[in-house]
Amino acid sequence: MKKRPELLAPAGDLERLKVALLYGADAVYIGGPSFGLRANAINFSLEEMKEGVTFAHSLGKRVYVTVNIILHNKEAEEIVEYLRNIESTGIDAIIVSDPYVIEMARQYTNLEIHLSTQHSTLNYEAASFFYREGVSRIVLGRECSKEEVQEIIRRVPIEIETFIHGAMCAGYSGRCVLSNFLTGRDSNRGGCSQICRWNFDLLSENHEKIEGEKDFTLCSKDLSLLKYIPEMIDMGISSFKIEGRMRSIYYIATVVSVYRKVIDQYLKDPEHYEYDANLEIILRNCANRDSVPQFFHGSYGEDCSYYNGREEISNQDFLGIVQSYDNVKKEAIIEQRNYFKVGDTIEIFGPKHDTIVYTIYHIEDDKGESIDVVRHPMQIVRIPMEEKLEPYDMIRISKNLS
Amino acid sequence: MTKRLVMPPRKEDLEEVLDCSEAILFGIHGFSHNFTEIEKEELESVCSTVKKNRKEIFISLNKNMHNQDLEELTVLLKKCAELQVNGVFYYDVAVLEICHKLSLDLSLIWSAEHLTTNGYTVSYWKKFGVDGVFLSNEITKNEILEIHRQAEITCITQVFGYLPMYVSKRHAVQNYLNHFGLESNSQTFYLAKEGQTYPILDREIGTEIYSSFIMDALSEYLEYKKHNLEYVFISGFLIPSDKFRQVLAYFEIVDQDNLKQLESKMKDLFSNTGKGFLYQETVYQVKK
Repeated sequence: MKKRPELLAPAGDLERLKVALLYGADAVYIGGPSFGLRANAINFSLEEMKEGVTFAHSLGKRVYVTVNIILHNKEAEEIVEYLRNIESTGIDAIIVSDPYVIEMARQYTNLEIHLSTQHSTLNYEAASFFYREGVSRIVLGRECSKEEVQEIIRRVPIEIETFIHGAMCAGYSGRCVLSNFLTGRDSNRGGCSQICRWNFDLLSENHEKIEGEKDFTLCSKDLSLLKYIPEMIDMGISSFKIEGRMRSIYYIATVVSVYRKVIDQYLKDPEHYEYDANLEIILRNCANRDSVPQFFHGSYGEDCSYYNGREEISNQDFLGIVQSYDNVKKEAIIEQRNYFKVGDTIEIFGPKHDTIVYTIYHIEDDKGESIDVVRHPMQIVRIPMEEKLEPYDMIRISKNLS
Repeated sequence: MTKRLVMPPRKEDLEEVLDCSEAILFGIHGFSHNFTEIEKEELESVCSTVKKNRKEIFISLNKNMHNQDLEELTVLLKKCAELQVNGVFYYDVAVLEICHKLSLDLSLIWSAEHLTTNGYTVSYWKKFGVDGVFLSNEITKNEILEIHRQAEITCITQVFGYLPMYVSKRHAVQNYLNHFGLESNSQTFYLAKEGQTYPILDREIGTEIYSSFIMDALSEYLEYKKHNLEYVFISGFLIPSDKFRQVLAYFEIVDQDNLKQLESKMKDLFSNTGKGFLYQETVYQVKK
């Protein structure tokens, strides 16, 4: 029997937390009111954290809170009170980077401690140190190859979490302060302004411009390890992490459901598991950047980066989210997220049913008036639907995947 | 006494800088980021030269270590202990772990670049026998002095030189050149943006980027001396050797009386000096 890895998803707010868990994540990681590396995301208040934890626990799932900034003295002085406050919400673990937080968490709380990728743990000696320090899980640096991950798992009896999908830092996590220098925003305290995505001129040592076809950038492509999930399950990795606390509910629902499917299919029948390339297309369609396996195979050459001219496509696939289903009229009540119209062929996917392909023949607005197009953001409309849909089911435009 | 920890621009400059320093710092090729490097095989002779002149020698092994680095790292650490180097700068906890396992008699300096930002974490590492901390360049002068007051271990802060901003395992410049079929014989490149240029180096172990300005904390050096901060770091990395000798001479003779004059000379020597974050706090929440 193979060990079942945890599927860990990001959640920027309560709605995304619910979506991630309903679509198949075993756990979510969230940011609290302070001390997280997404200082400019919405993040959770303590009250919301409590609500999120109650929701997750009702499904038998877990919630982790990022406390992974690098502390300055003034933050260090407030950390104990903060840890006690978030512990009181019932969260399952904290994700930390600064070792002083480990010490304080052990001394003043009973919180489970995960070491953040921000610490860039890449070897078994460092993993051994933190294992003895009472850390129960290490989120490895994204520069680790498959063999390196295997070696760490073989040598250190600690849970290992690795990223499987999402954006990459261009540099070693913790070793990039371009944001501090170029914009005054502290990347190690959650203020990263993503200078790695800026364009620069590249000059030679004589300060002459090196004329490539495009400007220079440090920008990395995204990570996707969908194809290697069976291999990673066999390696004994404890948790598969999806990046992106600032991503949309559609992105989270899509990515989580795809990885859920692959993990479950492989575990159900490893002998006969076959990779479904269509899932890769679904992932590609909901992303706005190319993705590659990055450091997994030990190579990190030209193909892992962008050389500008990259198209960051604004995603129009996501059409709406189901709010409820009218059993009497057999109609789905939908909140619009992108323009759609009568005649469109759509796909409805959700955690409780297979994807439904459907061509819209009738739409009514909230006053019961028949309309041809749904063009207003967040507009509530009804469409006839024989099959019962569930709240949080998502609707996307159908693309022929064959 | 505040000692001057000096890193020559090139290893060939070692003899020239000894007179104006109390301690010397080098990185080791393949094991260090952001430092002037020597080869492993040169370690013994460099130590010997420095010690013969009754100066201290520090070695930086501050790269992010991968599993495959650990064997060679162990050999290097044993060598450092055998040569009685005065301290090893480290980024990765593996260095500490190996020293403990082998009970090596080595003084360790926590040198996690941008992460050495508070006195409480410094105290945490002290409990594991760490002897010193190389403070982050992204904190203010007041924070430096506050941590120094708190810390019960040696504090080191940079007072001169380019400041490291970025380290990546990726070969960003080489990949760019390959991608567009370009060639260049440059050793050092620059990124240019909005009138600023940032040195970028693509080394064997990855890419490094530096500040557009040269930190010049001559006046703050006097203040650090007043507070008995243990070491100030004067970095010659990417600085022309002749100019660096001038810089060291200024640090050698600076006092309150000649400060203004030397500051002005420093500005004549370099057009791009700055104070970094010494008087400027970084922010991280841009909206509430």
